[in-house]
Amino acid sequence: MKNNIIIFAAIAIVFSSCYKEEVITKERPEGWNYLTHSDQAPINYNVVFPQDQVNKMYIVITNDDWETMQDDLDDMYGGSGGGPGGGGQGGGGGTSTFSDEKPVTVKCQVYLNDIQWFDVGIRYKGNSSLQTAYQQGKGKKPLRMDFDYFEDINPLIDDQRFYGFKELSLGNNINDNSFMHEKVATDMFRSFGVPAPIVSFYEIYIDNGDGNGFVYYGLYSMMEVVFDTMLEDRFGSNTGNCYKPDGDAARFSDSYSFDTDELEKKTNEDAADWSDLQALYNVVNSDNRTSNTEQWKTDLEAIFDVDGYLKYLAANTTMQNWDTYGNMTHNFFLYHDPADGLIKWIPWDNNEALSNDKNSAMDFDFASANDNDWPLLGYIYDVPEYQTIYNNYIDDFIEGPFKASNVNAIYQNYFDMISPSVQNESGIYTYLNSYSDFTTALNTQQNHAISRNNAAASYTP
Amino acid sequence: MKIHKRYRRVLFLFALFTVLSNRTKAQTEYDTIVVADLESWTSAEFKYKFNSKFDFDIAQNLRLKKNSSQLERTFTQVGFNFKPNKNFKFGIGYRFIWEQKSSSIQTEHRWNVDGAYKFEVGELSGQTRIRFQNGKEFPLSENFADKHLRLKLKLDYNIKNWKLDPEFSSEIFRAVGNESTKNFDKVRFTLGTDYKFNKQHSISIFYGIEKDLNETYPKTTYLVGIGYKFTLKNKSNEE
Repeated sequence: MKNNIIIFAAIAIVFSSCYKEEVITKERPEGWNYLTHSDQAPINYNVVFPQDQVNKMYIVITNDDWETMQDDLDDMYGGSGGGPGGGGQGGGGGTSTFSDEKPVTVKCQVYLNDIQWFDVGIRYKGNSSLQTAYQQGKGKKPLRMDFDYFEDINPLIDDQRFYGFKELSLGNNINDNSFMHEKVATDMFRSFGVPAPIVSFYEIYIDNGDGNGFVYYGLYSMMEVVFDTMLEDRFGSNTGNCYKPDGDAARFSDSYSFDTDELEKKTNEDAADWSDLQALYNVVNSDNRTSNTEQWKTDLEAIFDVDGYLKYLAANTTMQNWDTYGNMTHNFFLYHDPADGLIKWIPWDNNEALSNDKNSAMDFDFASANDNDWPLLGYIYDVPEYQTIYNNYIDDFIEGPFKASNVNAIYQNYFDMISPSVQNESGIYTYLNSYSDFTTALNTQQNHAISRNNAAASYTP
Repeated sequence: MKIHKRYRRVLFLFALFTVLSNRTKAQTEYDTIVVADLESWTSAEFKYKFNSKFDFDIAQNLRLKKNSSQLERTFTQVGFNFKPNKNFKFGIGYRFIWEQKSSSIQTEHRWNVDGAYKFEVGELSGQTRIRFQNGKEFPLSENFADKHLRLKLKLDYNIKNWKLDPEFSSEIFRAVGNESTKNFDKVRFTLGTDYKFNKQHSISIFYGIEKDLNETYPKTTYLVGIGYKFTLKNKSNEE
C-alpha cells in the first residue's frame, strides 16, 4: 500500500511538472509599427532602396556616444590631431595601415519619413574609405547600422528591423566625384544577372548632441548587407555558408596557407566547418589542372559556379575595378548555395569601380596578374572553353547593360536625380572641391563607358 | 444558379478570413515564452578524503530539459574543500560546461568559492552556505554568462531506525557585477534523501522547484535528480 502511494505521488508530481509555453504579446516602444519595425513583416525594398529618388535619413546620437566613436577612431588610427571640432570630426594624420578591429558601436535614433527606429547600433566601417576620410579630417565617413544590436540592453527593441532589414551599410562615395561608382556598378552586375546587393542614394543628417542640431553629412550610397537579406532575396535561402574572405587566404593559392581566420564566416558562424572552401582550394590547386584538365574542370564545376564567376569576371573587368580580386585580397563574398551545392561569387564594395584613376585595373586577359598569386584568374582563363565563355559574356555585357548608350543614359538619370543633394554638400562633409567637380565627373564617367566599350570590343575576337 | 450562390458565399468567407487574419497580423506581434519545464539532473561523483580536514571531488553531470527529452547541459566539475573544524567548511570549485544553444553546443566555464557553517539542533542538522560564482563563455571571452552570489540553507531531519532521512534545501540567487540589471533572480527548493549502501557508495534523489524572480514572465522549472557518489578515504590518515 505504502509503495503504491509513493508511486502514485511520483507520477502525479511528474505529470504536474510538464513543459509549458505561453504565447504573449510583445511589449514595444511607442511609435513601433509592425510593417516598419517587426522582423515578421515582409522586407520592403521599395521604401528602403528606391531607385527613382534620394531618401533622407536623420540620425540622433548623444554627445557622449559621439565622443566615444571619435575617441575609438583616434585609438585605431593613431590620430595626431583634429579632435571633435568642426562638427565633431577627428582626424588629420595618423597611421597608414588598416586596422583589423571593428570600430565601436554606439546607440542612435534613426528617422526616415518621420518614423523613428529605437536604440539602433551605429559604427564607422570600412578600410581605406574610412582611414582616408579620417586622415583628411572629413566628417563624411562610411557607416554601418544594426537595428537590434542593443536588444539585450533594451528588450523592447528585440528583433527590430528597418522595413525588414536588420543591417545596412552606408558608403561615403570617397574617391568618386560622380557619386555613382557604387550605384551603377551594382546596377550593372544585377542587370547582367550577377548576384549583387542593391544600392540606393541617401542624404544623411546627423545630430551629434553638440547643440547644432542636424547637420548634413552628405550624399551616401546605402548598400544592402549580403548576409542579412541579399542571400534570401537572390538565392532563396540564407542557410548555406557565406564567407567574406579578407587576406592572403582570399587568393585561393597554394603559395599561401588556407587560413580560416582570413575566411570569415557570416552565416553558420557557430559551426567550425570550412570544408567547402577547403575543397575549392584543393581543387583549384590540384595537379589535375595541368595533367588532366577535363577532370580538373569537372571537379571545379562540381563545387564552384564557374559560369556565374565568368559572368562576374566579364562584367567586372569591362567596368574596371582595381579594388578587388586580382589586385586586392578582399571585396567579395562567397556563398555555398544549398539549392545546387555550388559556391557563388558575390561582388562587394564597388566604390572604386568604373574608373581608371588608379590605372591598375586588370587587363582583359589578366596578363599582368601572376597566376600563382591569383589562380582564380589565370588558371581559369587558361582553359580555352572558359576563355570562350568569358569572351562571350564580355560581348553580351557591352551589347546589353553596359552598352555605352544605355549606361550613359543611366549616368545622366542619376546625375539629374542626385544633383540637388550633391550641391548641398559642403565643408568637411564633401570630397569635392567645387560643384563643377561633379559635373566634370559625369563627362568622365560617360567617356569611360565609351572607352571601355571600345576596349572590350577590341579585345573580344 | 445554386452553384453560383455557393461560390459567392465561399468567396465572401475567404475574403473575410483574409481581411481578419491580415488585420491581426498587421497589429500585433507575438512571442512564445517557456513558463514551465521538467528537467532531470543526473550525476556521478568521486570524492577523496585526504584526512578529516581536506577532501577533493570530481563529478560528471548531465541535465536534460524540455520534459527531460533534450540536452540542456553537461559539465565536469572539480572541487577542493577545507574543514578547519566540525562547524566550518570552505571550498573552491571549477566547472567546464557544454551547453546546448539553439543551433550548437557552446562551451563555458565557471568557478566558485564557498563558505559554509554546519549546526545541529536535536535530531535536526543543518548547513548554511554562501557561494560566489563567475562564469564566462570559453574560449576566453568577455561575454558575461553567470556572475552570482548564492545563499543556501539545508536541513536534514534524522528519523531513528530509518535510512532515508528527509533533506530539505532552499537557495536564493542574486546577480552581481556591473552587468546585472536585477537583484534576486532565482530561487530553488528541493526535497530529497540519501541512501548509503556502505561507507563508499551512496545514492541521492531529490525533487525540486526552481523559479525565476523579477522577470515579467518567470519560468518555473521542476527538477528530478539522481546522483551516485563513490567516496574513498586515505587510510593512512584514518583515526
